[in-house]
Amino acid sequence: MTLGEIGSKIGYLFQNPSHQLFATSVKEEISFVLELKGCTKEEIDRKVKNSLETFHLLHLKESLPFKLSRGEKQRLAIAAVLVNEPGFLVLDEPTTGLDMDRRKVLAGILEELRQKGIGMAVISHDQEFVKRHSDRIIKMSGGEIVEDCR
Amino acid sequence: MLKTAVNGMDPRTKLVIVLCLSTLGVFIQDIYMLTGVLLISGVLSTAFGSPLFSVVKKMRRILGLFVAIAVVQSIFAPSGESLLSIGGFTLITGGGFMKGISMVLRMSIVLVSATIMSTSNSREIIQGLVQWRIPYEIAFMVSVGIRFLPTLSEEMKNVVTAIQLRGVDLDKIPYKQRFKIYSCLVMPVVSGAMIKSRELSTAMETRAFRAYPKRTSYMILSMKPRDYATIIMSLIAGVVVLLCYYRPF
Repeated sequence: MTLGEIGSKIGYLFQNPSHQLFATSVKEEISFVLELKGCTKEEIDRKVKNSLETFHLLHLKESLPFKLSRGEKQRLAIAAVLVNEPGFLVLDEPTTGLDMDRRKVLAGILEELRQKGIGMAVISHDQEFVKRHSDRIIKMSGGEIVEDCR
Repeated sequence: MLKTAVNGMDPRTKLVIVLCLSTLGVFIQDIYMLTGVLLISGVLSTAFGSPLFSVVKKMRRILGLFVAIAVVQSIFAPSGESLLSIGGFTLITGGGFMKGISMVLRMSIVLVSATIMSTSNSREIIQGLVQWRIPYEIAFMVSVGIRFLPTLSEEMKNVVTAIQLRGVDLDKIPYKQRFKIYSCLVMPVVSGAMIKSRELSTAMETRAFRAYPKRTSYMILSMKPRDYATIIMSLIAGVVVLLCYYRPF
């Protein structure tokens, strides 16, 4: 499978969300893939508006992604990945650099995605976050699985 | 024997060699002489121990760009007999084609000779420039520029990976859309570089960069007789080649 084919099935959130933002506005970041897929303007506008509302980014829709805070960039990166409607999401250290309030916002978003049936693998050193929001915890050390709890 | 001779040379010596080769590449128009200069650059670069073959492999990726430059040059600088014409309009001429080739050779000389500098670490290069009375701030800027190149390259790779991970198969996208996708590389690379340079300047100022008028150096470079001999020989060779080119016997 090519990276593009994998990306259409599995969404990946980079450890540093800045590395996956490249558009000139928040709106364009979300609509990027939809335009390439040949969606109609109405469909694009509807999905973008939906994403902006879900991830509390409506007030930032014309902003430059690089000027957003870490939490906002993370939400934007997740929104941009999810607009592609992948069935599974991989999040790499999603709580890094987030304060308690932003972690709660992120936890709320992940819970909503879980209820929609989107599977998730979260790679994290934040044991508290992982314990609170996971069905299965796999601990690794030295490249090997040392514990697998459900 | 050449490798032994050049091993451990002062970075200033390497800089003079690079300047001589690049100057020859800029001023010479003759294709055969340019090819000779390119070969000499390659030999010297290999002798200095630079990763020339990996650089040449990376240059294969921009081969298309080289071909495009050669074609554009030959279209806009026509001379000689027509090689390719469409509907009575001459696109490529013999003379224009040769100019395009010489442009590609020139760029190759600059790229290959620059690999000679990669065999010295940036700390030595800065110190060499400072000892040549170049203001420290300017010498440091050169080093930061060199340091940023791999960062920019990594930034571009990240963006291409991020685009593909959004479900975009670059090989299956029509060329028109591919151009739009690649234009997306510009914004993150430029803004990333600006953000990093701002952070770097803040970090440097917190370490008292330019707080005092004078700096002492922890490392002092000293040139050996072979460095002086190499510099003199390089300069003489460069002048002789230029004289031979402009005033052939």
